[in-house]
Amino acid sequence: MGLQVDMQRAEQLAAEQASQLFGGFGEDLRQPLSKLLGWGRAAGADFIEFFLERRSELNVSVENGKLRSISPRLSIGVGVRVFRGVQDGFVSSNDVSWNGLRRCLEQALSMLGLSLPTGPRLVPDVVLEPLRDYAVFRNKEGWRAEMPKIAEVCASLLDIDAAVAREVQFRQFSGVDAIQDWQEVLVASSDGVFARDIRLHQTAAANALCVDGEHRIQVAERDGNFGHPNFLAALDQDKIAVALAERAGHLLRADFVQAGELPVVMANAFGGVIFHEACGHLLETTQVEKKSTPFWDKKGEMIAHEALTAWDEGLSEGLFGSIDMDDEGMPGQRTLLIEDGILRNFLADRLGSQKTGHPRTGSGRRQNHSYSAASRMRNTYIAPGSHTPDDVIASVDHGLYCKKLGGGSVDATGQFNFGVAEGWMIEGGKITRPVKGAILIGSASEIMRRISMCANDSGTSPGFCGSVSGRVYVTVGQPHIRVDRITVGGR
Amino acid sequence: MDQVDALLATAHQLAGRLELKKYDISGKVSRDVSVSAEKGSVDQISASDSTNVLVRVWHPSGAVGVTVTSDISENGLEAAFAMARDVSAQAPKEDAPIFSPEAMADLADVATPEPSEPVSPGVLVDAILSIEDRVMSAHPAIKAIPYNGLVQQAVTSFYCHSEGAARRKDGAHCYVYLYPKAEEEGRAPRMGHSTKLSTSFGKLDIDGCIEESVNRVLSHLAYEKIPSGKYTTVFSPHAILSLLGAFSNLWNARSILDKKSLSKAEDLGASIASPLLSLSDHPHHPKNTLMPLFDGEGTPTRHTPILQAGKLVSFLQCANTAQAMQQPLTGHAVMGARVGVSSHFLHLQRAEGAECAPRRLEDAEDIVYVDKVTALHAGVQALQGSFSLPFDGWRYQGGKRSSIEAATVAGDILDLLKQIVYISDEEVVIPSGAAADTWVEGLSITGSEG
Repeated sequence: MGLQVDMQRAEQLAAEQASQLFGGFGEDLRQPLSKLLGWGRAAGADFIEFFLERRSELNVSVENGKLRSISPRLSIGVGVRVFRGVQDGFVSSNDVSWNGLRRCLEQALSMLGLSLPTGPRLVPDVVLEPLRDYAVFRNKEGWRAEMPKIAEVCASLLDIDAAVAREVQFRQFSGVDAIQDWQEVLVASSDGVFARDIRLHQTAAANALCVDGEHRIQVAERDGNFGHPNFLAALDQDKIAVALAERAGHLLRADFVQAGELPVVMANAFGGVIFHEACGHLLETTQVEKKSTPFWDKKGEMIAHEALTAWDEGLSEGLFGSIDMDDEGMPGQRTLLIEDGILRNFLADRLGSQKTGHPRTGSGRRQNHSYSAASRMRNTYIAPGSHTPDDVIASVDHGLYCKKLGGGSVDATGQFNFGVAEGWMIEGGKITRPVKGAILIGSASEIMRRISMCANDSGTSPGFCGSVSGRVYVTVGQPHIRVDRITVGGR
Repeated sequence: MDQVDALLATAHQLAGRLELKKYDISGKVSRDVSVSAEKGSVDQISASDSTNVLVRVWHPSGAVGVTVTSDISENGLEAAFAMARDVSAQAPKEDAPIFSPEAMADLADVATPEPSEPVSPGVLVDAILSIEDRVMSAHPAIKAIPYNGLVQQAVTSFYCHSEGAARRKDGAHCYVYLYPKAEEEGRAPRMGHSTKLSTSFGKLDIDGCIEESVNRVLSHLAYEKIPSGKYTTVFSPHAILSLLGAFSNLWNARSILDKKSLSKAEDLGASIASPLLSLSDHPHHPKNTLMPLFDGEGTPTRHTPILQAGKLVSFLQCANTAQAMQQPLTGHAVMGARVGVSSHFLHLQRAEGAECAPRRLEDAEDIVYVDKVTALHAGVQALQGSFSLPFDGWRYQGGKRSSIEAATVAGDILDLLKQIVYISDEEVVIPSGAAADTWVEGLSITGSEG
């Protein structure tokens, strides 16, 4: 238990210390937050959590060889979550002054029928652990100074756009967008968690629209990174431009895919979006607690083909979904989801764990302070198998090769879909001609049993995932895989 | 002085202190409360007070620096102005934003509802628990409502600039959404949906939302496979507005000027759709709950015809695009690093005087009714014009209606617009617009039957 002091004096002291908050998140916040957490406990809450966030984003856009926009965004805020049993109240605000924090706590308590203690009474503080400061442990404090300046980012993007203009034929439009997203977070909760982290995500995406008479095709290429400050200045412009040029060249005059049920081979890296959409979301306790996933009671059971093993983790160096701690202050973890087709683990945040009994996995994530954390994927991928990519392709007599997938989604019935950004027909075990306009749809519980071959060429790709707690950075990945049968929508 | 007035007063003082000659400030302050239910208990109650302010500072060269901030303390606003000023020195001069010539013009004289007093979170909690109970009791096959919520929002939008423009609109609204899931032994789970929006909790059509969502999900229980092929396809108001929204680059002046559109500036006056089709943006439609009076640049909003009898008659504009195209302002600016353009409330109707034989779903020999398209982000190629989208819907065969198992509808938007053969008389209002059932010939449907 902490010091017991009179409420009025306590408030004055805490307010004085909270006024220092704008210098950054750290030890200065220990006393005010200990105090507020103690008040929350005294009010009758079982658990209270403060999530503070400061963020500095920079968006730069280049189009057709010209700088189009530079857009910085500065944000600050707090999310306060209070539990009484498994019921919770959540309040967010941009006001991180002492009064703002207090008001949020008061409002969250009132949602659960609780109120702050009043009058001259003694209330124990919550004792917080020594600050677990991943920004210090991992040398992240210097990242902001090491990041390229605005002018350097602009120059890098103009170089990429120029390379795209050189390489891509029939170009009507080309553009490059980049995001630098620096975030500082601090979590303090009534179970004693007191942890701070700094995250730095950077991404650049190039796209081109090619038009030749009636033929039109838009192609895009994205790269992203976590934690390498110089990433945007070191992008390989030629690699990006050549990839766009090749795809546009193949697809500009391609026929639309003929619809039907087909065997499909998905290429490695971003092909992993199939697992993300068709299975990963259904292993989040957010879905398990609502029983809105066909797998909610299948732990320990065969839910996929025996060829399939899959992981979700936050530990890989530089990957987009890596996190040293989740947004509930739990250190990063590595979670085996499926082993040889058998469901081994779900992804659980605090509330999901409370509601389902599955252990927390360091997966409590949120877009920002205005969302409460929920179980979310990090870096999610299918493990490599023993086949070569050529083996996998040769196993299909007539089917579709998805060299690059677009985005996708899954609903609460387990129906998923995703677009094919670059498709090719497989005929007689060989890749033959490009096709466009395909979308893949199916049922998660069925498709997992139809992934019958995994190659030995694992790859990963950065992406964004939007769900109940907003948009978070993720990685998808897989080797080349074969899906025995899937509905291909087209014309 | 309330929060918004205080914020603007501080901002003007800071701009003076920083000796900024030309600047503007826009943004939103919102207060939300939302509740959801899960099996008889409250799933979560959440509330948020949020502020987003965008400041723009003009450099003497004409370039404009922009910064967005949610930190409205004096320090936060000062940092935002300072950053915008710094960025203005590096920002592009070409196509630099201008003040809207109508930022100080009179607003439309339309009746907007006074913001109603919000109800307490307790009232919302009681309501959502009752709603959940009513939906769950409606049929034994309804096992859960995975997505449900009741949300109350109060929003103040504002715009002001250094030459005296000062706009402010205080609004409030409330909405309810329900996505019940039903499941029968040995059959795939199915979902229904409904969303209702109103200016206050008291006026919210909760009964309608329950009825629609339940009817939808139950209608999908007895689903059947559909053979792939070409079908006459009827789009519900929700489906056609979703699709048109995904291809809004057709009439978005910013997209056209950026060459990111299926249209060109010279297409104005061209017939791009069936003569049956008229489309406008109608922000002051009497049933538009949000009813914006000015856009992000302070320009008054107004009714803007887009397609008349299939002819493209105007594009949606912001100040810069209108100047570049030498077209009138339309009041569709959306603030950002570059000012964008977006519709407020699309209104699709059969063209005035257009004649066509009435059609009824019940009389159709074999058609597909697309109730809701999904996965627009994955299935729409907005610059290619093509789409291939999963949907929920029914097949009508000689008066019999049956739900369709997983299927996609695919086509080209420009072909679709020309292949409209009927637009019904019955207009339906949804939160994003108003439309009627729209019949299109010859679209590709892919079912799981091959």
